[in-house]
Amino acid sequence: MFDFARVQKELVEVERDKNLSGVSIQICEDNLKHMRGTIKGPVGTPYEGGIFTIEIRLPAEYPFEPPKMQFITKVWHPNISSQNGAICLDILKDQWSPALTLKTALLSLQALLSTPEPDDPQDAVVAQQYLRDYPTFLGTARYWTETFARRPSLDIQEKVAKLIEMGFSEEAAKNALQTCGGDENAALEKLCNV
Amino acid sequence: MDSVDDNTNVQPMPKLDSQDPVKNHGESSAGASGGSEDGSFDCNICLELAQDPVVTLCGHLFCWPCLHRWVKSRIGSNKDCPVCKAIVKEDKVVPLYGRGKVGSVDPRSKAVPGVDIPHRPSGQRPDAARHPEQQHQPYGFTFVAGSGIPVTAARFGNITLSAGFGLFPSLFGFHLHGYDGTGTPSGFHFRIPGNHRPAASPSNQYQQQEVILSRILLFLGCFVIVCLIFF
Repeated sequence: MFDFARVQKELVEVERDKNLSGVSIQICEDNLKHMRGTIKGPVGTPYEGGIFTIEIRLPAEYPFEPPKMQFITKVWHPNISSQNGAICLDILKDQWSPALTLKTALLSLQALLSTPEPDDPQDAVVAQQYLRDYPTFLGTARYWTETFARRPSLDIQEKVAKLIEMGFSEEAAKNALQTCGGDENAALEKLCNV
Repeated sequence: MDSVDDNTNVQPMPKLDSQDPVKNHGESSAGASGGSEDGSFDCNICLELAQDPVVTLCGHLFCWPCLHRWVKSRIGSNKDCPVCKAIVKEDKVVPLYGRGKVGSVDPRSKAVPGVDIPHRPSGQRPDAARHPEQQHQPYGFTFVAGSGIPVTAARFGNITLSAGFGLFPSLFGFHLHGYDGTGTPSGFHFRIPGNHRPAASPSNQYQQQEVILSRILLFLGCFVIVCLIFF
């Protein structure tokens, strides 16, 4: 028997703490068995600045069985399949506990982005690159984040705000970003050289 | 992060007496939703106000049906507490008996078709603490037959006082026996049995000492009066 009451309660809680936790969930089907969660890429990782969407499917036995989660956004990470977004995380398998919630599971995914476990890989290619050529791994992960996990409309505004904070005028910041194709570092250099 | 935070600090055993739910939840605890503002009494599995509440030895609160279902659902795996992963044995959980009606069917009842949920284990009830007064057996005065020596003895609790006098002044004695519970006197020493009465609080022992001292003085007084009369 599916526990609607619990899932509803969880969704209310996620909605309430959305701004604080950076985790949000959208419902895809009315029966609450299919939803999409989003997490922010952790600061200080190649995933910083990205917003990652995760598909969540709840089994009928939830919360006694773990939710099925899969990245929709493409991610370059040793424990996440670069092909289909499948996740290798113990709490989504045998270490699941009914005291965990969708929110804590999503936060665990965020933590997984910060601390990859290449010794227990989901994607062998990524894991090998992580172990053998870490700089290349960082570059690829950052590139994938820029390419697949950026939300341009939001992002531009954030970048403009960032440049305004640094002391440039809004117009100059916007122009610089436009001419540099949205690359904030190039725009900053351009603004500094003027 | 609420439930994660819960992992780090073991919740104190919630007291479900008649006062606390009102204090902690205000009106919400009485509401049909069963939710509470701070969730202190919510089941860690269904997140609702715990129904047939049980507490594990590690101190985490669950509905009995929820916990039972979790323990039964894990085939070939350790039966662990959902919150802290401590081992949970179904016969070791502690039921909480609040003031609410027992046996009333909760509309939120999470009965699972095909899964028979047994009754909650019952609480393990230690013996009730006994009042010190109740331990005192009736005491009286006895004459020891045959010896011709009048002996007064008073026994209360584990202490027996006896005062006797005979034909010779040297036989005047005053004995205070401590009984160790098996009925054998443990000697002539003034001894307050404490180790075999763990329920006795220090104040009880103090009271008992006072009683004993007053008895001793009483007997001494009687003895002096008797001496004055006879000699």
